[in-house]
Amino acid sequence: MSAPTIWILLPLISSVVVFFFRRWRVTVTIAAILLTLMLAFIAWFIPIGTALQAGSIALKISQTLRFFGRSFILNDVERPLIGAMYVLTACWLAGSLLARTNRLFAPLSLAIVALLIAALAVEPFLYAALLIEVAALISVPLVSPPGRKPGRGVYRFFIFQTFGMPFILFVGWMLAGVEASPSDLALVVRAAVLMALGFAFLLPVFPFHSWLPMLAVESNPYIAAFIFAVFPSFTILFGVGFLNRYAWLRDSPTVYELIRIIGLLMVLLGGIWSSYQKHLGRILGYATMIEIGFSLLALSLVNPQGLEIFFTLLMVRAIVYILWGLSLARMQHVSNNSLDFTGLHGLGLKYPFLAGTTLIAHFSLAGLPLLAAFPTRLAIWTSLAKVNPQYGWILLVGVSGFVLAGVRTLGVLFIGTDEQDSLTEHFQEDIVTLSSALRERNIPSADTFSTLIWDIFLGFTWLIILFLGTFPQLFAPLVADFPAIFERLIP
Amino acid sequence: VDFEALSIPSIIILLISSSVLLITRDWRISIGALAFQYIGVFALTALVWPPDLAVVKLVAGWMAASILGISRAGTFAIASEEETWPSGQIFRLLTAVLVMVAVVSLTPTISKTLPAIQIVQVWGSFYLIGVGLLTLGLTSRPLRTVSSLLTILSGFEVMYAAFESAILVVGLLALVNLGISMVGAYLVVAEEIPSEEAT
Repeated sequence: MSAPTIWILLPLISSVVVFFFRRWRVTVTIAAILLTLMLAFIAWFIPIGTALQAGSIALKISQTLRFFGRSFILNDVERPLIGAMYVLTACWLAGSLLARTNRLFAPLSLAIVALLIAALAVEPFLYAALLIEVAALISVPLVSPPGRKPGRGVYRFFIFQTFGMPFILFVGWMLAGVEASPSDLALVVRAAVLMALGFAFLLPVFPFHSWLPMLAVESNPYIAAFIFAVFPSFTILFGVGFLNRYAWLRDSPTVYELIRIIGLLMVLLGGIWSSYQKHLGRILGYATMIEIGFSLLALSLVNPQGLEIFFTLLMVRAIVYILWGLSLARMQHVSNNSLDFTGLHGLGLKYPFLAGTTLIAHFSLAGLPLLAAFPTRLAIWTSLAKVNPQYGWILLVGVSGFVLAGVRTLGVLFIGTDEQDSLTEHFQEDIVTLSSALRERNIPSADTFSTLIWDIFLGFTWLIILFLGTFPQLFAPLVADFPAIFERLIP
Repeated sequence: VDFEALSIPSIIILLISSSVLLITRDWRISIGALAFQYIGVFALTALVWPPDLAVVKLVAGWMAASILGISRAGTFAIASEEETWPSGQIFRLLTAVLVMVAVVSLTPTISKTLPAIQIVQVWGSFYLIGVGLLTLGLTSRPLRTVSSLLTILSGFEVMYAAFESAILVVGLLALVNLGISMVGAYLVVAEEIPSEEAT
């Protein structure tokens, strides 16, 4: 059996099966979680390309799957990343049970992750643009679920993803020419401009970012967080593949400078725009802009740490987005389907753990000390300030804007109206209701019980974020092997 | 079949069909024009590909048009953009002429930069891309958005055919065309499909 069969075909086929049985949402989601955990387990423990002897049975996972004259190749160095992808997919699926996403989440998320892994595996790797496009098309019913009028964000999302594909395919042809004659400056410039445009559409980079905040308002916030975490991450990985393969790109200081400037611009604009938003979904959208910016900044650091920081960012972002998406989905549920500031006044007094999770996720991505993203932010900031201190100031402005958005959210969530009581009273009220119900052997109301379960769960997630921020050295070995995928970028 | 001889008629087909797509408000005519457009795309692709491979473009295109047509059949939405008739149509026609002039004037430069592409392919592909972009910019309706995206993609495919003829790419591009039309069909009827929200 080949590695692409296990980590691409199997989840793809499973997604079709899950799709037909989606009526039983909980059951199929649990089945999908088990499948993804199994795929992660295989990725972690069974090497690719090495025969394993179990008694008289020899087991060997080959690297290549040939398909219509082209190959899908997954190497042993990619195993840890694939394992991590499937663990995160399992977490997203588990979260979807709590976030009450639509029934399409389990089948479509499985298919999207499988297609995006196929995009990393396909040879020639430029065809990845086509697979990313197919994944984007599949995700449309997720972000614009049946029964609802599609919003403008959905259109922009799939239009921009579609626009990106031709540029990348065309660049692929041009790059062959550049490799043959690297001294042809006009050709190099043309290829670079087209490539930059292609990635600007796919990632998205300013000014093609407008679908991010729109989609976050129109969709279930958990699904929006999933899309925001998955698509830019795989697109950047695809982009790093370009740097890894083409010597003229990876040896050019101008390319890194350009990536750095785009990264700075994304953080600056994302931060400034997020600072005056009045909708938590839109803030999530702009946070994604900032995250893309930081990923680009990590890549632009031409030092051994750069790739490691980039992969750590990728993992931390996924975890924080799961929690942020979950808390926003829950908040939407308890606040009459609105994440607008006007409908959220004082919500934190009634649901302190819920509001706290939103804020912790927000401030974590802002890079506040002791929270999950702090170590990577600090590393980027330090390295960048060494390159040019002014870059540090630009980052400061952007991040300050995002922190301001967090402070405003804090104010809205915890400053109630006159009728609203203090935070502790509400929590005590729930505990008293529950304990008296248990004492009198009555079944507590579903709402009280559900709120308490949520509070306990969300409290636990705070610990995860604090743990990641306080003990980054324990998390670092997990991503240490990831940079080996791009062997030519490791000095 | 001598596709070289058919290259000028196929350019005329592309000019007519994409201009009709830009101008018309009637979804039936739009779908017909889209299907007609793929005949021109097929003929221009067949200049550089074997006809049995190029026909994939035609089949995929017709399937895409059918999917879009099926999604609209039975819906009776009144086009709000009708109000601008006929000044809107005249404006659109003039912009199409402008695109045509721009393409013709840019063709020598493009041909010099991309010598692998024949002049008729440059005309056809860039006109499709230009008119597709124009249509996309002038509409917010799902069906027209998707037809213009398919038009842009067709333009790209005509050009890309000169560089790439791998079967996997042909298949994936056909899949993308069908995917876009399915997404378009879904967006047209999404509101009417029963909700799949978790209870």
